[in-house]
Amino acid sequence: MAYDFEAPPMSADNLPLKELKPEPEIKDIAAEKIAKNPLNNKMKLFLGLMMALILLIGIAVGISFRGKAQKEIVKPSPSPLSTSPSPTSSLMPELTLKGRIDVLGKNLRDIDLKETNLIPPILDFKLRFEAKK
Amino acid sequence: MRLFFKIIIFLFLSLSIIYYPLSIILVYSQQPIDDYLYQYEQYQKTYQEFTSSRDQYLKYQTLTSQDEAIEATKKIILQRNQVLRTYFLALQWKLRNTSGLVGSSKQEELISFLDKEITWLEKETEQINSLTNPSLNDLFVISDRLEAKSNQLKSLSYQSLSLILIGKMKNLQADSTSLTTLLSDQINNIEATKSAELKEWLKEVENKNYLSQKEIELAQQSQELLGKKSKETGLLSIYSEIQLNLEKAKEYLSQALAFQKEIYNGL
Repeated sequence: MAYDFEAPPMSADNLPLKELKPEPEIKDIAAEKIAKNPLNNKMKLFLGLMMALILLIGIAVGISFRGKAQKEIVKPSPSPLSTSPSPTSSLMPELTLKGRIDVLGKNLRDIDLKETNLIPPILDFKLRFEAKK
Repeated sequence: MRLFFKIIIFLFLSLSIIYYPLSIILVYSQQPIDDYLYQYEQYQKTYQEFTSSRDQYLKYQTLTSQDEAIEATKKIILQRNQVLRTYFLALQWKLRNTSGLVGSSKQEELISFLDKEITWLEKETEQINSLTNPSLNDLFVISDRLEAKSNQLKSLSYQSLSLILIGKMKNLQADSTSLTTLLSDQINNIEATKSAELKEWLKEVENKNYLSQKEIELAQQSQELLGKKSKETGLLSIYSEIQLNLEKAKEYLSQALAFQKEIYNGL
């Protein structure tokens, strides 16, 4: 049986010298991929939105606490009609003198002394009828 | 840029979600009044159906038209009860939420009277609903019971309504008086020559506040009279008088406010 052997490889010393090319720049493929990845953009958006949501919740909680604090100030104490305190009056010390004048002016303009929605309804109380025989 | 727009849209949506419950609270703050107005509108429609069925029955006197008349009469009695019930609930709500009345004995008294009438109306409604095949006469007997109470109910309505208006005016009067006290304190802190002039002006304010107080007191006296009147004409004339007193009180307070502004500018 004849075996066809290939020639053994040449020693490296005998190889022709090749011109060394500058090594290609090692790209940060991972960073590029991250930048291009739409999922990453979504993540950024998600984080941004979460932060905005936390901020808004913070504001809402703040407002509700303020509201509660104001309600506590408004809470009236029972007293006869002639001496009943005005809730707006109890709030007024927090305002400046100018603020109080403005509030009073607005309340005087806005007061509804007609209450048309609450005028007693016109109803037919006499429903009785009789057929002539 | 797209991200920016997305954030803006998200912020808008978030604000809407957060403030939606608040807007619901604001919208539904008038809920008892809206309920009443809706029921009153329903009553007007039901009443048209009732008159039409009644007229058909009176004209043809057939068994079919009689059945229709019975059904329409039952419906109108039920709807009338519902209107009155929601109306009294709206009055109660308004009495409770008028700042100048908070904690007053008169307010408590009227709320309790309204409560009694609401319970009575609910029992009447229950009774009508429990009737199987009522005759026209059965329904008229029930209707007559409300008719007998109608003047009393009207009087209660006008008393409540007047007290609500008085409460509103009392609130403003109290605000004006306390503002006058504050101005007086400020005047006392400035130099004597200037303060003497402003003190004179302040007397004018006090006078207007006093006149306003007197008009409110007159309105309160008239309001007491409403409980003694039963005829609608009498109730209406007293109610108009009360409105007139309160309009005058408002006018005096407006004049007082104009003076208060002048004093403030002079400080």
